[in-house]
Amino acid sequence: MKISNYNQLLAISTLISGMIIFLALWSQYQKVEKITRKHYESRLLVQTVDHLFTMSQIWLTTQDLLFSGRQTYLANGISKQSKLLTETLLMVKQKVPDNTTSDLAQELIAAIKKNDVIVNSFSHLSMQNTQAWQNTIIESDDVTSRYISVLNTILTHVLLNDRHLSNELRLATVNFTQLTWVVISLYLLTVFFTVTWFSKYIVKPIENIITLAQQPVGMLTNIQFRQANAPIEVVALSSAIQKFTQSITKEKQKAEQEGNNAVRANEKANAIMDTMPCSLFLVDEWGAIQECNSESENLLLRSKDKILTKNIGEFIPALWTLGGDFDHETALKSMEESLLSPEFTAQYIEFSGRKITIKGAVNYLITVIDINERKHSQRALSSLNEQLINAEKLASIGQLSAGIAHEINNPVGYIRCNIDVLNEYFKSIVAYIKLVGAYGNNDVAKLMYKNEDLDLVIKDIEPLIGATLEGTARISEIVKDLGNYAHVDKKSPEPIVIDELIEKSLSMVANELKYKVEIIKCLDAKVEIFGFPQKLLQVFINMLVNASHAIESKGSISIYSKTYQHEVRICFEDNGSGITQEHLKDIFNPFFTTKPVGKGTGLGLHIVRSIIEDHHGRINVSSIVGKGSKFDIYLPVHHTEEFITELLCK
Amino acid sequence: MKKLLTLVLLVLFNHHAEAEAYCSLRDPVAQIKLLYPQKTNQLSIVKEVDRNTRAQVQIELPNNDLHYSELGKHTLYVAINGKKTLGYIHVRSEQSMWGLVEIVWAIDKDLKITNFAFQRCRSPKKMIINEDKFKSMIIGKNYEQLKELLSSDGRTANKSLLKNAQNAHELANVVLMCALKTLLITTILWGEELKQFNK
Repeated sequence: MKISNYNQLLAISTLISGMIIFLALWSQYQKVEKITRKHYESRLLVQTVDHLFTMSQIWLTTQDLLFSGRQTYLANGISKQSKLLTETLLMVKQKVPDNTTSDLAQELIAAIKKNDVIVNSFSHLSMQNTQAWQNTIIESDDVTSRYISVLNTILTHVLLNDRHLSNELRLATVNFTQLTWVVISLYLLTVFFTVTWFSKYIVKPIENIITLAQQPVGMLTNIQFRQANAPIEVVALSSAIQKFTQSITKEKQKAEQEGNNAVRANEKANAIMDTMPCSLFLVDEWGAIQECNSESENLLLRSKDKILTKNIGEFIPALWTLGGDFDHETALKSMEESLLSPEFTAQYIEFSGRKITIKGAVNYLITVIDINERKHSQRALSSLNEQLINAEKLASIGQLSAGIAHEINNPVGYIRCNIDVLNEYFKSIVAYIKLVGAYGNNDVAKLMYKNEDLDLVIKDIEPLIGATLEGTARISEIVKDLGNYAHVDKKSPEPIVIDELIEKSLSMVANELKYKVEIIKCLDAKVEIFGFPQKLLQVFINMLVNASHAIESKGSISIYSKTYQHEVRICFEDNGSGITQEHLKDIFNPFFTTKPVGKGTGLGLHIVRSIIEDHHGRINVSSIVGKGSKFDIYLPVHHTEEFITELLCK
Repeated sequence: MKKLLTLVLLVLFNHHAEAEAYCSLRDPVAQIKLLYPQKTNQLSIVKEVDRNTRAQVQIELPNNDLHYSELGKHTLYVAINGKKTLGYIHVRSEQSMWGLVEIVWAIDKDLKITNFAFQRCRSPKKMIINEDKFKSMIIGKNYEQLKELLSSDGRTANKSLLKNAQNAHELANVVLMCALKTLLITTILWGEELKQFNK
């Protein structure tokens, strides 16, 4: 049977038993109440009869006063007392429970009337008529004696009735009390048995289940939860718990397996994290570090416990907003280069972050890589590149050296001739001066002057000196240009007039070009850009030398410069042999060359592109074999501070 | 001679005295004959109960003093057989629950109660008092002996008397008090005269 059925049964039985108890008690109570009411009335009757006794005593005493003192005026009062007694007796007569007593009351009323007649007869007697007095008293005494006797009988009846009612009341009260106790006892007994039965049949099985459920978890597999002798719900519950326990056991085993897997995975993850060559930080949405790997300790030069709970911004200021909060947006970026806080000597880092949700909370996994070595390598590479550029530059100087030597030898040649001439002129002039000074003979001097043609000498000296000076100036210019070309750029970028730089490159390679190349130029850039002039000069020289090499016997090189909005375009176009499509894709690769061994390093165009890209520019090439090649160089005009800073770093 | 004179005087004033006394026998001859069947004659001695008498009673029986209405002339009857005094008769009234109770007391020459009878009593319980069981507790006792029957309050009878008067305690108390007063007043008022009858 179900507990609900038991409950219904219990409720119905409780209701019925309650009604029975109530009716029994109510019935008994009504009985007690009825008897109590009767007893109360009886008590009132007893009091009334007692009062009647007192009235009668007074009545008789008054009569005795009349009899003894022969005071006949008392007869009137006695008559009034008789009236009151009669009224009281009438009342008693109505209230007495039986006819016998009622008849006795009536007899008393008759006695009072009879006595009244006797007492009234006194008023007719003479005080001296003693015998008549005595006779009348005797007559009255007979009546009143009978009256007292009857009154006693009435009192006896009333008291008996009252005692009877009192007994009845006591009995009824006792019965009521006993019934109440019996009912209470039965009720308690029923409650006890019900509770015992409930405890045994309902509570005990549940307690068994609870006791079994409190067994250590490891023992649950062998415990039998099913309760056979119990209500249907408890049986169902115990069966459900049995199944549930089995299910839990399975789930527990699975969970333990998964837990072991998780532990292994965690160990693996920790091993991976700790062996990762970068620092990992798990931070919460406020930037507090929740977890980190051992590499983080190496990076931040402190133990893990001094890293955890600290804000990541304390170590990487870039992850702090201006307001001092964690910068979520920056944390999700990939920063190829950033800095640790100033307290670290090796500051260069690279970091990137990802947002991950762990147990509903937003976290950030930030990877930090120490790039100080890379930075150092970059610097070394940059220095190497710079050396390479300079080597290439020196190589180009080597290539140009024959032309440059020629350019220098030419003025040197005529300077030497001029100096030889001037030396001859100097000797003649010195001899003339000596002659004039030693002899003071103008004739000899004049002869000499005439023979030596000093007029011509004097006239020729100035042009010779001028030509010599011009030659030295030219040499000086060539040397200066060469020196400038060989000179390494300053560390900081400087303004460059592109057209002038092109002109300078042309002058550097003029001797290389002048015998076979016609230069066609249209320089209309008219703009300054920021950059490194020697590097760009190297680019232009390289362009011109390559173009010159592409022309076997005779050709032309066209040079254009023009500014387009934010950039300047410099075009070098030749009508030389051109480059095959096969080679076009490789010409900017390092060490690629089609020239014979010892003629080229294969680094020229690679360095050209490198320099242009360093200036945030680009270079395009187009070529047709047999018709020539065209190189377009684009350089930005308007440079930002960022660009300048970047150039500075390079 | 002196004794004879007194008796003559008493007889001469007998009728007058009877007329004035409140507590007196209704039918003296018959009632004295009833108590003293051997009597041949009787005498009546009238005395007045005054304030002085009342005061003496008050001293002797502090809680049973006489009512003022009892002050006045009272009669003591002497039952005589020839020249022999048989005893004395005195009637006393006593207030009871049911009015006045008049008891006729027979007293011997030693002032002991020899018998008593109700001249007036409305209470039906007089039957109990008239039983020998109760009467024997009173009869044969003098004043002192009767006083021993009083309880400590001096107004009611003790248990030894009351147990012989089941359901008539009030009337028993009345009878005892009446007996005590009767003997006391007889001694106080008539003591001197009665000495002559005892010679």
